[in-house]
Amino acid sequence: MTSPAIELQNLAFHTGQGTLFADLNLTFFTGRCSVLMGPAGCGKSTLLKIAAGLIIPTGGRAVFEGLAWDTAAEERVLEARQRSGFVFQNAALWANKSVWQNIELPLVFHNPKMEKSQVDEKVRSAGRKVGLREIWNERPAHLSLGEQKLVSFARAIVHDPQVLFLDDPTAGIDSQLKEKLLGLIEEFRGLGKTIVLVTQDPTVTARVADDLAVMKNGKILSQGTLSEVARNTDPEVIDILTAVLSQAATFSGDILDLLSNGS
Amino acid sequence: MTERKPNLFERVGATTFDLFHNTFYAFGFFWNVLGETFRFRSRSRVSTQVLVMQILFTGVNALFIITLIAVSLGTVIIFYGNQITTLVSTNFVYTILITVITRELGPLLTAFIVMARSGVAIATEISSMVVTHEIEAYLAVGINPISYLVVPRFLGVTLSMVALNLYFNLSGLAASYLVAQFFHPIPANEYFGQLMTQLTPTAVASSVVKSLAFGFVISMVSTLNGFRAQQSTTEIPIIVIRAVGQGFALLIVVNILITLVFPR
Repeated sequence: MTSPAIELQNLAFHTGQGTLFADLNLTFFTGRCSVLMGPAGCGKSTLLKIAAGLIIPTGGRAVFEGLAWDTAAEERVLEARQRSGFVFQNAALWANKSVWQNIELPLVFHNPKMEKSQVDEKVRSAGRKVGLREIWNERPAHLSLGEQKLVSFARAIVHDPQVLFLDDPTAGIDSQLKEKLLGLIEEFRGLGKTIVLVTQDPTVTARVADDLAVMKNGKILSQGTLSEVARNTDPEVIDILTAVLSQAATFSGDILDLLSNGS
Repeated sequence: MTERKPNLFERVGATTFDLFHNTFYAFGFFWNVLGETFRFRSRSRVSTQVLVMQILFTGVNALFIITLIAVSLGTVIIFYGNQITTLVSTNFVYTILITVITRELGPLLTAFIVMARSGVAIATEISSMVVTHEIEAYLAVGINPISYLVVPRFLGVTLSMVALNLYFNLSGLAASYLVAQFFHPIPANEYFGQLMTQLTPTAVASSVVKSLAFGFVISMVSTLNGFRAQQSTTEIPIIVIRAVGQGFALLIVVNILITLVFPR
């Protein structure tokens, strides 16, 4: 096993409506694609945002590459953020900026002295990588959700991050675009980047997961490599995994073996 | 099983706790904004673009309505002042002009207009950005929303307030001179000379301090309330109404306090 990239230690998150999770521990490892699965509303997206330092938990701590998000100095947090990228479930593009400006802003904000030609090349390169058509001057409101997700992906990778957080990247998009996004995730995985991905889609898990954590009602029911989790005998885990494993037949014979051995 | 309703003491306790919590949060927010303001020059040029856009919207685009109100106020003062001065003294109208336009209503009316235009726009924009996760997107790419969104708006609104207040004064006093020609023709050098004798350093200081303080109040109230949105677009109109209410109330209180600090 490689070194931990992100450690969530004794996490708790309370809202005005109640406790989303308490005393939760989870580790995501460097260079691996970790998938967090679970039913809607179980706290996956909140957990992902805590791991990425976008939300401060009400208890416990999230440590990103040795840096605790809640206690680190602002400059170090800023540096850490430049080593990561985040793709939001709803894309979360800046509505008052064009597609170009959405992708360009992180670059020009952090590198005010970067040559314009260099900025242009990086923006175009990120657009090419995600297969974005020439819609640079469009506003996000004029794009489909699929296109918005591609722009969000391009924005997340324009500065070549080492860690990528993906919040349900394939939700609400057509199969063609889903295939494209899965291809991108696989490409990043192939480059040895750390990927933390939240999804409800068994196809995604079956295809890209190295490690898997299964979550329900604010609790981690099982975590480990995909094969380890597949051996779990907890009925709730099996319920969630059945869908994954049936999808996995399309992608890998090994997973089917695990299913027959593990259950 | 039905949930127990809190009794009167619990409700008063919860409200008091919220009041203290919100006040401390607000002071923390102001402190953070001031800290980031001092670092503004060292930040990226893209923040300067946001500042320029804010000055354009708050300052330049408000010139028409400011002119209209300043000219109306100058006209009304000279119209009634002309009747009063026949009873009291000729110089009294200049005292009224400086007191009303420069010291009191000039800064306050300008602030009301800026609050109604820019304060509403800022509160709406920021709260929409919170609801659509755009603020989180700024955090995700390492951009501090206070530094990139709030500081340019704070500086833009405050600088625009000072400039608009000066413009209001010039328009109101010039309009009153032009209207005066209909009732009691008077040479320009005599009219403006008399005004200058009434324009004491205290009056100028009071006007400038008011416009600076009002700019601070408008930008802080609108951005702070904008960030209080959580997850629903239905919160946005409620937040905007709250921002406007708080803004107008604070502007009136601050106006009274500064008037007391700068007596005639």
